[in-house]
Amino acid sequence: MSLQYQAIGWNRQKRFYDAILAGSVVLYLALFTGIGALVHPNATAETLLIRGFGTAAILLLNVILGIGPLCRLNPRFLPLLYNRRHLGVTTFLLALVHGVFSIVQFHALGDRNPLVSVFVSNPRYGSFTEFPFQSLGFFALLILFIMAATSHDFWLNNLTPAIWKRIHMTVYLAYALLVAHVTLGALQSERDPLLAVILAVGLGAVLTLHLLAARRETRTDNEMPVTASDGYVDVCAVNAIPENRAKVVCAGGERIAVFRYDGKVSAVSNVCRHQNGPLGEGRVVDGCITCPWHGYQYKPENGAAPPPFTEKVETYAVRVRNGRVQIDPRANPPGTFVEPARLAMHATRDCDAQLR
Amino acid sequence: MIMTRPLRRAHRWIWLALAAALPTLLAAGLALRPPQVADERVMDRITLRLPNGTEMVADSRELWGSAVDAPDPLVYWSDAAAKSLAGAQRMGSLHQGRRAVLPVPASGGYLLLYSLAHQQVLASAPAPKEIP
Repeated sequence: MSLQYQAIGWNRQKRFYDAILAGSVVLYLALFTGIGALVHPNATAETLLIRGFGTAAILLLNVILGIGPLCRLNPRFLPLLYNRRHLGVTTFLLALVHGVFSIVQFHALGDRNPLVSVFVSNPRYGSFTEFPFQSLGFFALLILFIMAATSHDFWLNNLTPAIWKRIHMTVYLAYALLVAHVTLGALQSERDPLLAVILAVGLGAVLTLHLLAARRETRTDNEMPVTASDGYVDVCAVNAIPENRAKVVCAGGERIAVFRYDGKVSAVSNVCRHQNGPLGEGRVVDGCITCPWHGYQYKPENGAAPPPFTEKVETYAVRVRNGRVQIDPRANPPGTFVEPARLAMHATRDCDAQLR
Repeated sequence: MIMTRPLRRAHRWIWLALAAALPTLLAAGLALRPPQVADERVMDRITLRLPNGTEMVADSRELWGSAVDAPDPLVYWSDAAAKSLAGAQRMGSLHQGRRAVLPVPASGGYLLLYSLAHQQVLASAPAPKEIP
């Protein structure tokens, strides 16, 4: 959407969420080190900081991984998704401080390069409980760095969404590495069950949310719309679509968002060109379909972003028969104009009355 | 074809794999961790293994006193009592809650207890020359 690249396109919401994020991180670190100093008087400040930053990073990563499925299950969480990239960069910075402090504390005093020492100081790679867990944390940090460095839309546009998405899906590998890093590291010597409970609860919550969201998505994909003899598929009754909203249907192997607005019905791909956001969960604002994730906009009748923007999504032929919406599941090239199906005025009023 | 369907499928398989692997890893990591030694006297014992295979058991508290309670203690061997690690050889870590087995380079010499957290030699003691 931007014509020129900015480090961060600040707005009131981003400042608000970032202030809450920064305040929460500082509060967490203060509480962790303060309580830690009281409970473990022998622990040094460096040790408390290493653990404080490490636990903050993995807690934040759990939150980040939970945001996606939460939004699939309940759109009220969408404002969190809007700020997810800032959470990701914060996670990387917390993990970086943890990693640098740990390397200085445990690997910087020998005659080996500290980074080499991370990999060779403990050679028991064949052991499970004595595995050199530091190397797992190192590779997780490397992934988080690559993700943070490419998080800006500059990279999204230049790498293309497909490659960018693949790069950022390595967060799942980073998460697995971090769970292994904590399990084979701190949990092997830490006898206080609190750390194990926190890790298990975070892991359980993230896995449950993803599996619940996946089940819901699979159900949507498996709904088989009725196909007419001319190839059109029946989507739903007109009055099942709220004004300025969409019904998402899976037809022809892809999801299609069917919008109703201003007495008309149009169908476009459900996939936003920006970050594959679900357009069908957005709404029509000022005559444009607006993605719920980051506000990218498209004209319903041709799937093209309003000038001067250039993003385009696929469009679909649509018609209304006997009060039911039908679409041709064969996608038109992105940006192709398709005449919207027009609703009779009395039908529109009847639909609105039913929806009220 | 628009790219999301393969992506959704990939997500689904990734999370199914993670749902199977990560809880298993966590459970195995907790179940297989070294048992906590209830007897503090036993926990304080360390085993020194000489180059000829002889093993000597020593009490770490008798050697270094309360310095063993310092965080992240490491054991070094030196041929003289010293306050720095110059010329000393690292033998291993004095893990809390697990029995340390330390390969000593020679009979005799001194055992230095170094705190990684404090970054200083906290105590030194003559290495036992025979099984106590």
